[in-house]
Amino acid sequence: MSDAAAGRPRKFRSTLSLRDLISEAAAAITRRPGRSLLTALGTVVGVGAFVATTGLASTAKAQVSERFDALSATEVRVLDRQRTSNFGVEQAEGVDHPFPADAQQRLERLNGVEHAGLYWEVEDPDLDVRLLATPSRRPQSVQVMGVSPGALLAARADLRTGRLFDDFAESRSERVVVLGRVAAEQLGITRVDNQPAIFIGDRPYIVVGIIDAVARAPELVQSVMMPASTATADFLNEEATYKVLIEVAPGAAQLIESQAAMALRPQDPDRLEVLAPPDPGALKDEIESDITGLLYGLAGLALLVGMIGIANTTLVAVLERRSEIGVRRALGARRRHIASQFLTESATLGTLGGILGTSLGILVVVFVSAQRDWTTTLDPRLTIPAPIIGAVTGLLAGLQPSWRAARITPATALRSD
Amino acid sequence: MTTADVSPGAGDVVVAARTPVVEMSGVTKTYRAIPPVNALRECELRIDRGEYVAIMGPSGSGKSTLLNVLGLLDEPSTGEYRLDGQATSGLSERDRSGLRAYLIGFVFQAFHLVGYRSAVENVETGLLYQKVKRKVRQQRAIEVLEQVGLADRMWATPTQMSGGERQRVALARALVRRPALVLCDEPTGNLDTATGTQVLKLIDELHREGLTVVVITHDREVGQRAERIVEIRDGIVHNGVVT
Repeated sequence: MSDAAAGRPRKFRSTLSLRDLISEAAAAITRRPGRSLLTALGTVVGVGAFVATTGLASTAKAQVSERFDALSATEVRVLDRQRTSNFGVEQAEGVDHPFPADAQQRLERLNGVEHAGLYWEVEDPDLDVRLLATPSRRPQSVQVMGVSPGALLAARADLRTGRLFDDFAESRSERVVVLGRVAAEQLGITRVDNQPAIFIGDRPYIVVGIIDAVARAPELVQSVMMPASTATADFLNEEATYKVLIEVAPGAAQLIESQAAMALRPQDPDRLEVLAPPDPGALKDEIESDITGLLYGLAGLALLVGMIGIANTTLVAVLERRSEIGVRRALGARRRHIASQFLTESATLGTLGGILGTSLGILVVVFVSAQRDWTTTLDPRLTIPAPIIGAVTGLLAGLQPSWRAARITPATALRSD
Repeated sequence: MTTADVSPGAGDVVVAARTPVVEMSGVTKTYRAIPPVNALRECELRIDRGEYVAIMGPSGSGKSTLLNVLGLLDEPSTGEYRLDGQATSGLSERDRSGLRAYLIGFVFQAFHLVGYRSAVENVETGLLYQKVKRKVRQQRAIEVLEQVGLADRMWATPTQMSGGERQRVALARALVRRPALVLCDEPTGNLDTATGTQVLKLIDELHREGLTVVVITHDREVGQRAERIVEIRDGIVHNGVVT
C-alpha cells in the first residue's frame, strides 16, 4: 500500500551523487573534444605561463647567484692606502713595502681563500722590451708587470698557449715571462713551443705562455708578466703601486675582507684598504623581484584571458543546452544540480588546462634552460599545485554561467526547442 | 519482461478503482502582463489512477499551461493541486523537484533527448535524480528499451535515430521511473502518421497495463484513443471531473 493511500505524507528527494555528477560533466565535455580543448587553451596558456614564470625565475635566480658568485662576489682586492691616498704623488723615500714577501702564502692560509697574489706594474722609464731578432722594434705600450703565480690564478687568466709560471719559478726568481695577448701581438710572438726569448733591458726572459683574456685584471693582456720575485730582483720598483688580488670561495668575501689586512700586515693593518663586493643578496633579490613581478603579471593576464574564454564557452553552452536543462529539471533535477553540473564541467576544463599548462610550462623551462646551458630549477611547492590554479580558474569562470543555468525555469527551457 | 513490470511504481500498484492521481480545485494561472493574461481559470480536474485522459483544445487555449502545472513545472497562481495525494501548493523548489523525480514521467513533442548520450544513457537519466545505483539504472533502462522495441538500438545516439525511435526512447525514459502519472505533450506532433500510430499503440498498451496517461493534444484522432477527453477553451477546463 502506498503512503498516500495509507494517509502518510511521503518524502521525495531528488539527489545527484558525486560520481554521477562527474560522469555527466565528463560526458558533456567529451562530446566535443576539440571544442573542449580550445576552451581549455586559455587556462593552458595561463597556467603554462605561471609555471614557466616561476620555473624561469627560479632558474634565473640560480644563474644570477652563480654569476655573482663566479666573479664579483668572489673577488677581494687589497690596496696600499698610502699609494691610494697619494695617487700621482711620489712615494716618500724610506717608506716600507706595504705587503710582505710571503703575502700569497699568508692569504692562502685563510679559510675561504682560493687563490691570492701580488701584482704591480714595473715602472721604469728606461724599460726596453724587444725581441732579440728585431732590436729596432720598440713597442711603446708594452708594460711589464710583476705578478705572483697566485695572482695569475686569482685573475682567472685564460691561457692561449704554453703555461703559466708557477711557485717554483717564483721561488727561484726565474727569468720567465707570460705575455698578454696584445703584448704578444706587438712583439710578434704567436707560439712558445720554440721557447722564444724577449729582452727587457739587457736581460733575456724566456716566454713560457701567452694569455688570451684575464677576467679580473684586463690590463694584463697588454702586459709582459714575470714572477713577482723576479721583478723585485731585477727592477727597482720605487714607484710601484702594489695590489693584492684574492679569489675567495662563494660567500666568503665578507669574511676575508675582515681578515686580509690583519693577515698581511698585523703590525699596521689600517694601512691596507680591503675592497670586497657589497653583499649581493639585496641586489639579487631586487632583480629577482622585478623579473618575477613582471612575469607573474603576464601569467595573471593569461589566466584572466583563459578565465574569460571558459566563462564565454560555458555561457554559450548554457544557451545551447537550454532544452537539456529543461528536461533535466523536468526529470527532477534541482537548481543546484544544474549549477553543479556546469560548474563541474568548467572546473574540469580548468583542471585539464591546468595539467596541460603545467606540463607545457615545465617543458618551456627545460627547453630554455637547455638552450642557455642553465641548470633547470623548479620549485615543487609552486609546480605541483599549479593544476589547482587551473581548477580554480575554471570554477570561477563557471560561476556566472552556472548561476544563469540554474535560474532557467523548466517550462521556459522546454519551450526553447 | 512484460509491460506489467513497469506498471506504476512510485504510486505503487493500483489500489482500487477511482483513486485520484490528479486533483485540481479552483486552479488559476495568471501571467503578469499588461493586461494580465489569465491562462487558466478556476480549473477543476480529477484524473484517477489507471485512467487515459486526453486534454484537447485549440492553440492558445491553455493546454501547455495546464501541462506545466500538472507536471509541477509551473506553479498555479491560486487553487489547490494534489498529485498522487501530495499537496503541491507552497512547496519549496527542492520538494517540487523531488515530486517530479519520482511521480511524473514526461513525453514531449520535441523528444528532448540529450543528443550526445546513447539511448540507454538517455533512459537512465530518468532515474538519475532518484537514489538508484548506476548498475540498477542501466539494467532497468535496458529492460524498458526492450519493452518499447528498441533492443537493437540501445547504444545509438538520438542523432542516429528516426523520429519514431526517438519518441520511443523518450517514452522509455518516462516509464523507467515507474511514475504515478505520464504526461504526453503532443507525442505525435513531430512524427508522420504511421510512426505516430505506432507510438500511440504503445501508449495504449502501457495504459492497458495500468499506467495513468494524460495526453495533451489538439489532434482529435489522437484524443479519441483516450478513455476520456477533457476540453480546455480560454483557460477553462470542461468535463474535468466525472461525477
